[in-house]
Amino acid sequence: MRDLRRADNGSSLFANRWIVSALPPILVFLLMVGLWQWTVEFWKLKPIVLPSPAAVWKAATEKESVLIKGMLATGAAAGLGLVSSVVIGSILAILFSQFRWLRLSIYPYVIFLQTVPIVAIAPLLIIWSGNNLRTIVIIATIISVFPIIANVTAGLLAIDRNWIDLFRMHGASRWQSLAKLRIPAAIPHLLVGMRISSGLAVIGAIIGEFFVGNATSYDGLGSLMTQWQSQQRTAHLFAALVASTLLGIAFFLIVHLLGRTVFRRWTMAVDLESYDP
Amino acid sequence: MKRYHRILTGIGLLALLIGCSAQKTDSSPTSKEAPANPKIKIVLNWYPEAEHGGFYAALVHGIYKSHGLDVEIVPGGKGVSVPPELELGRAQFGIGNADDVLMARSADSSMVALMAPLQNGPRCIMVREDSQITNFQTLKNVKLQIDSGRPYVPFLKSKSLLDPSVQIVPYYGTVAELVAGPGVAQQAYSFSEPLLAEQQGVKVRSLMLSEIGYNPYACCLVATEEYVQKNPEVVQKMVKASVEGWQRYLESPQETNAYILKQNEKMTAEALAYGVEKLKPLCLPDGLAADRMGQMTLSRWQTLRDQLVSLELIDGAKVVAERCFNDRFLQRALEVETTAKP
Amino acid sequence: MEDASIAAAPLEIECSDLEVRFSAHVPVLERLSCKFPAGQIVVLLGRSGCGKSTLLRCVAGLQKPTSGGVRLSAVGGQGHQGRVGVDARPRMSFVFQEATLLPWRSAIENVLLPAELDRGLAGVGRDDARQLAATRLEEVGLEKQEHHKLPRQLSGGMKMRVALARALMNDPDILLLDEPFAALDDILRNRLNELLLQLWSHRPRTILFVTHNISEAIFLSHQIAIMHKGRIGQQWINPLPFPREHRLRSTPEFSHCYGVVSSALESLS
Repeated sequence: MRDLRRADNGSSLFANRWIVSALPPILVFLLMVGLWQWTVEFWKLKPIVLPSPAAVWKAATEKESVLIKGMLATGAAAGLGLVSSVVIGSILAILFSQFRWLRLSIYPYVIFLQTVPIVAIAPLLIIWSGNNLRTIVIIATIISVFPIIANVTAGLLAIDRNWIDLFRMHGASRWQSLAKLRIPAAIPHLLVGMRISSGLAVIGAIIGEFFVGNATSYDGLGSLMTQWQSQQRTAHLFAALVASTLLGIAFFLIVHLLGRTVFRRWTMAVDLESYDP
Repeated sequence: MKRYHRILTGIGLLALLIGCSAQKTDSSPTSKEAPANPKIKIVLNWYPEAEHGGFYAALVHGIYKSHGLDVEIVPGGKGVSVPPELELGRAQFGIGNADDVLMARSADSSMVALMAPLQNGPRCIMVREDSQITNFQTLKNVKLQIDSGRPYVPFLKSKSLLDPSVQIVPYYGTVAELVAGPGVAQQAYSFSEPLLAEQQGVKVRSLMLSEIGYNPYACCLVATEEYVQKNPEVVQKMVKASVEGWQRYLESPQETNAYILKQNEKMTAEALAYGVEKLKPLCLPDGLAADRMGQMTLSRWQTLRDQLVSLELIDGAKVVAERCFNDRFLQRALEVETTAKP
Repeated sequence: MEDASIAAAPLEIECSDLEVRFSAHVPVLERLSCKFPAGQIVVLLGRSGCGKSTLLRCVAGLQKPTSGGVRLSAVGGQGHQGRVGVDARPRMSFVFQEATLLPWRSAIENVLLPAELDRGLAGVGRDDARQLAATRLEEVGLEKQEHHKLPRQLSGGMKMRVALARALMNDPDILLLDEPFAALDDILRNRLNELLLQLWSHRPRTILFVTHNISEAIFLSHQIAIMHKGRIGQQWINPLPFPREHRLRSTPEFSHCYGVVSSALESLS
């Protein structure tokens, strides 16, 4: 019996799904921009209070190359921060999953990483590590590491009891269980953590630039924001904000794509295309 | 019961309407005439410090009150920006340096300066005394903590005074790094940070930007053009009272400083006392008499405007020096002063 | 690899005074003593909560009894006799109620898992193991093109077959199954029962099978241990002859056995 939900041509089904899911956010975006423009006009707001979308667009096109370089500079720092979060966070999570005493004694301090006010720590970091890329990456890592630790630890520990029994039945050693069971099972959890951490890494890199300055010869988005704010160039500031949002979205998409390609096996999504009862 | 419901609904709708209309700015043509003794707010451009002393003195010694003004001074600080506060009508007056005024006007704000208590700018670069740096020409091989958005950075660059060996990093409000070791210089206000450094045991030298030609008026009383147009009497009283407040502050600051201490817990009595001493030569340079303080000249505004235009920080087409300041009120206030003196 | 190994002697399972208690109240297994003969299929039958799964897990070594013990011996009572010279531990496999396939491994990779883990299989080379795994999958009815499918691409019945193949990968002396076909429909369950008997007939090993389904118990078993409230009420010997085929289910003898067993179960509760 034919499945009436499926189109004859598999690829057109895919294309339709894409359009249908992309349309609502686009409509909402247009609505928000329209509302913004109306607000500025109706309340007669001065640009120094709230610039109009048109003014922000103008500022963005004016400073296009500066903004792009800024996105690359901040993106590089954020990318390094995310990678080190994943590495450090995963290693800590593995240690926490294997050694109960370690988990019970140190995990509460990991929570400190979630709540630490960067404003207090950044000056100390600068004294220790200098005004350079490394310090910005450290700040980005500190801000983005906690979701990785929390999610991966949970993923390593929350294993179906049957799987644990299966491994026991076949005489698996602790390390075999870790490598062949726990770590693969934790990968989807890692990706969930990465989705959250990717945005935090971008924010962390920008905050790092507020304190540390530029890591490279280019002005990062954080530096551009502080400059333009001091100069009361509010439209340019908004353009930088939009750029940083786009950067965050790009990171999020990269993580999403990783889940659908490289880590497809482990993300266990129901695969409608090839289901064959 | 029905009647009760209607009353409640009515009150609810009324509250909603009031809430909505509260967002409207004072600059709309339909706003009502301000009541006889309105609450006037002055928003500061930073946390309460010695540089705001004159205005606090006018409050503390009842000078504003005696002129019929009910004044509240709202502290500024990180994240508080003066121009939007004035544009939205949340404050009627503000404090700003001359370069702030020019940049706000370039961003379509209608800010205008009314008086300039600090005739010379306190902006300086602070270096350790034990460093090799004695003047701007020898500013080399340091890490300079400075707010790169501020105009004096491109100014220094334009005068070729920022050697490539100077690493420019953000300044986030503490003298910790300069105190911690050599190789660090930072932006400062001459009446503030040097004391902080010395209290921590490090002797410092201040390189004044005013000496190399960047000298905006500092700590000016500002308001929007629209407000000035609509409330000339209030503005007159405000300017007169503020001048008197500054004169009082420079003479006997103790009571005012005690009050400022309460407004800003991070301040110390020592720092405020030091501040007043350092402020005097800035407020009354070159033997300027106290009863002639606060004045502004067109040529200085013009110079500053031209400097900022050449540094590409403001739009020359939008900023005209004459419109950046309005010393009508100050002149009248000072005239009354001189006629009052025997 | 099969020929090279020493054919394992089927193992007898003996439980003595087995008790499992989780709290101060009612024990899950109460002073249970029994013997399950070597090389035969014994079905543990009972209502939910009678302790049959717990008994199975005690035999498997997954559940530590509060007191008492389990002894596995070769016929003749010579204590644990695994493969001589390799590993003295008896080789057991467990099939769970959910197929418990690792979702990131394909069918054949799941079957390979025991070869990777079990140090007893350490002598087997990678290619040999792969060949062995493929053979096991074909034995349970999975064709070559399905070997590389991931569990999410397989139906419930196919997943269970893969689980069986995996359980047989290490050629266990004892095969333990905990209601493996309970989630499947009747037709599929019958087919898998027949498959299990087929596999057993190739290599008669001791099998302990837990179920609450009476006709499944009768079809599969040499013996049914009818359990109730942590004890074995009765060990019923199954008179039906081997080999057993599908049409056996519709014979009057089968119905008669069904009646006997079900009334025994009734009388216990």
